Formats: sequence, structure tokens, C-alpha cells
Amino acid sequence: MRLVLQIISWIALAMTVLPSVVYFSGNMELDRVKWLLILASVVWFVVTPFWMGKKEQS
Amino acid sequence: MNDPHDVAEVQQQSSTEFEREPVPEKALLGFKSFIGMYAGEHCAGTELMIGPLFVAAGVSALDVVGGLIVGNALAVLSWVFLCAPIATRARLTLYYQLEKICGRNLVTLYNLANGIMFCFLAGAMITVSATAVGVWFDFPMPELNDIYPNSVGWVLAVLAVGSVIAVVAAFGYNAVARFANIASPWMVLVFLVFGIVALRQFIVETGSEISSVGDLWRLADTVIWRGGEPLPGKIKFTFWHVTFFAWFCNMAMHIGMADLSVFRFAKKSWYGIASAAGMYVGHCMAWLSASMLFALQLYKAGLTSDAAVRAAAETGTLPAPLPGPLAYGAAGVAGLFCVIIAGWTTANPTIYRAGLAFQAIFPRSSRVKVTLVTGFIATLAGMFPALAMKLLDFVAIYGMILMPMGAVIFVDFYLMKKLGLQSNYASLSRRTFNWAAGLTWFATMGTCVLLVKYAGVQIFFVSLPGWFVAAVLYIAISKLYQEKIQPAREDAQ
Repeated sequence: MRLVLQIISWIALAMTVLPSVVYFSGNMELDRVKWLLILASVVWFVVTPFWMGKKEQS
Repeated sequence: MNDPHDVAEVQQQSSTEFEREPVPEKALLGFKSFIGMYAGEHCAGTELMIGPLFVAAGVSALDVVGGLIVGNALAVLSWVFLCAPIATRARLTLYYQLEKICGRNLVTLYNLANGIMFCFLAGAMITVSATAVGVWFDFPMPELNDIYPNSVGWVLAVLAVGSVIAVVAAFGYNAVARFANIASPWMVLVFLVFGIVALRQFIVETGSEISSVGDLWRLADTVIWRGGEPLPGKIKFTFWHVTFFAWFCNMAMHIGMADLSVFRFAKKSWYGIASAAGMYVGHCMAWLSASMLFALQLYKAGLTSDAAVRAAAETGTLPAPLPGPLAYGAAGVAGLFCVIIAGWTTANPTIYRAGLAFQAIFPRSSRVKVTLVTGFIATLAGMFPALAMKLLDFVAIYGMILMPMGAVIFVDFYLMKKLGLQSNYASLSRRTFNWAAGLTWFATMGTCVLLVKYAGVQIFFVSLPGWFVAAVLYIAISKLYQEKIQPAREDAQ
């Protein structure tokens, strides 16, 4: 479960910055970048607390 | 990314554990812990203010990029060669190390100075967060050269933000510290987004064709950081200003030795290089990104020449570098949240630390009460926009005030015995106020003020000669002041 949550968090983190890179290349509108950024931020802050800062169970 | 457990471990242990004893071998931490701590701590709300102020100071591309590369390298080297070696040999907190040298009463005075500086710093962070509130509620925001609060709306916004931060720092410090660790990697990337979006908008606005690094540099040099005159009321920044600012903005931590408390947990002194994570992420990438946002605002307003800037200043239409609106323009609501979170998560430990410093002076007061009062003072300070708009000067003064004690620790640790003098003099002589250290501190600050006022040395540079003044003064005054002491005391090194 921890691994799944971590993967979701990593994807969210990647999605924080990727849309702006696509925008930089001229292939996305800024409004869409802003919406994707909000979405990625929400996912990051909802999912990450479930695993980050918690010791891995042995 | 680093496990926040490690990061939290460094932050918590550095302030609460082994306060009056050397850190034992079993409590030492690995290199990774320090990378996480520095990357998180130096990507703060104030970065959003400092970057734009560079643009307001009329930096050119070479000045700002070159200055940040060199200045941050000097800062990292200061941690590696000045602070970390003493920390890993003595393994004491700054306060205990200072107490052994200076005596309890002088350390109390140092705490007071430190606490006041922390209050103002937290005030600037509250100001930054409050600019985000201004995007949602339409009230007049501060202008570039405003000193006093300019509207009731602004005062209420700062009061609301500051009150929340103060209450949370008093009652829920640990929860915010955990939240800050989670927010940290996200915040770093949002800062990066600011830069990428601003760069793209520059390309679109100017109609530039970017097909090589040379093209990019031309855009940076002629449009983004075009140099020229600073905005009215600001002083001109050159390569040397940026270099010294980047080097000395954390002077209290490296040359001033505040991070002895952090690196006493490091296994090796070279772990000081972990500070590069904070310097090149927070004090390079974040400053450049934030400065591009303000440069874009100026460009869109048609302020592309010195004459246009002068005309705008005369008509009162010069835009102010307000992090909230700038971030909103580039990254929307997420950008606003980044401004609020960056200000909040960094003001929280700053108010907490200021509270601890004041509590050392008033030990009978409860920590909650002291933190609330500290937060209130920081909120009051945050209402005055001058604090944020003159943040570059304030940060330089902050380093200058705390730097002399770093020189005292350095000389005491490396040179005193070689010169036939006693190190840790207060501890050996059981004095509560080592006048050699005290006079060194006051006389160095006095000398720096005189150099700035009458010798034309700018505040951004004065701490370099100031450090040597402090070192020489401490040796000279100690020679006159120290009595013969029996060395075989348990506190002797």
C-alpha cells in the first residue's frame, strides 16, 4: 500500500512541473497549466501525508 | 527527495536535545538528513521578495547569474570550512558554546538580539503571505517605497495572517513542522514553475526565437535582467552586490556559527556541503524564478527603458514587487497557495525560535505565552511594508549584528591557546559576562556603522572587514582582560 501511495505522490509531483514544461514548448495553454497544477497539488497534499514521515513497517 | 523523518530529526534535535553536553556518537546523523533540512529551510516565502528586489536594484544578467553562482559557493564554503569543523569537534549548541566563552549574561543579550531579528524576519514572511490575501480581497496593496501601512485592508490582512501563524506556532508547532516537510518538495517545484512560465511569457511577449543557449542568454541579458538604473529609491546592484548578498544573507548561520547547533549532529565536517542544496535551490533557482516574475510585470507594463521607469515613477504608476499577485499571474490558485504556505511554514519556526530566545531571558514565562507575544510583535512588524520592500538591507543588517560572535567563537576555538590565552574564558573564570567578547561585539557593530555612515562602505559589504575587526579586537581585548587562570578545570578543553 505504501508503495502505491508513494507512486501516486511521485506522479503528482511530476505533474506539478510537467505541464509548465509542455507550456514552455508552446503545446499547452496557461489556463490548463494552472488547472493541472491545482489538481497535482491537491493529490500531493492528500496522498503524501499517509506515507511521508511515517516509519516503514518492518 | 529525503525522508522527512531525517529532516524533522535534525530540526527537532538541533533545538531540543543535548543542550548542555556534546552530542554522543550514537546520535549522529547521516549526510542525507542535512540535504533535506537545507533544501527545505532555504526555500522560503522571503525568496519571493528577494528575487524581485534584485530586479528593482537594476541587476544585469551576468551580475545576477554570476553573482549567485559565486556568492552561494562562498556561503557553502563558509559552512564547510568555518562552521562545520568546529561543530563536529566540539559537538555543542551555539548557545552552550557561547556561554562557555561569553558567560550567561552576555548570551542572554545575544538571545535578545537574535530574538528581535527573528521577529522582524518572521514579520517579512507574514507580509509576503498577506500579499496573497490581497489577490482575493480587493484592497490597496503596499507600493515599492512605502514605509507605513497604506490601507485598513492591508492591516487587517496582515493581522489575520499573523494571528493564525502566531497561534499555530504557539499550540501546533510540530504539526506545522510536519506539514512544512511535506510541502517542501512541492514548493520547490512550484518555484521552478514560476520561472518556466515567466520565461515562456518573455519569449512570447518579445517574439524571440530561442534555438540555442546563446539566444536564451541574449533574451536574459537584454530583456529580463537588462541592467540599467535601479528603480527609484533603490540602490544599484552590481555583480559584487549580488555575490556578497548571496554569501552573507545567511551569515548568522555560517560565519555567525548559529548552525553549530545543526552540524554538531554531523558525522563528518564535510557534511557542511549539504548546505549547497539550500543555496542552489532556494537562493539561486527560487530567486531567479521570482525575479523573472517581477521583470515580466515591468516588461508588460512597458517599463523597458530607464526613461520609461522614471516617467512611471513620476506618475506614481510604478508596479510594486508583490509576491501574491506575481505568483497568481504565473501559476493561478496553486501559486497563491505556494506564497501563503512558503510564508507560513517558514514564519512558524522563526516565531518559535524567537520565542525560545526570549524565553531564555524570561525563563518563568510559559513558552505558549512568549510565542504568542513574539508572534504579535512579528505581526506588527509585518504591517510595515518597508520591512519587506527593504528586505535586502534588513538581511544584511541581520548578518552584521550576529557576525561578531561568530568571529569570537572562531578565534576562541582555533587561536586563543596558540596565543597563550584561555579559551572558554567565562566558563573557566566563572564569570557571567566576558567583557572581552562583549566589547568585541559592541565595538565591531560600532565600527561597521561608522564604516557605513562615514566611509562609504555599503551595508552589503561591511561584514567582511567587520569579521576581521572582531577577530583582532577579541584577541587584543582578551590580552588586556584575561587574568591568570588555573587551567585544570573540568570545563577546560
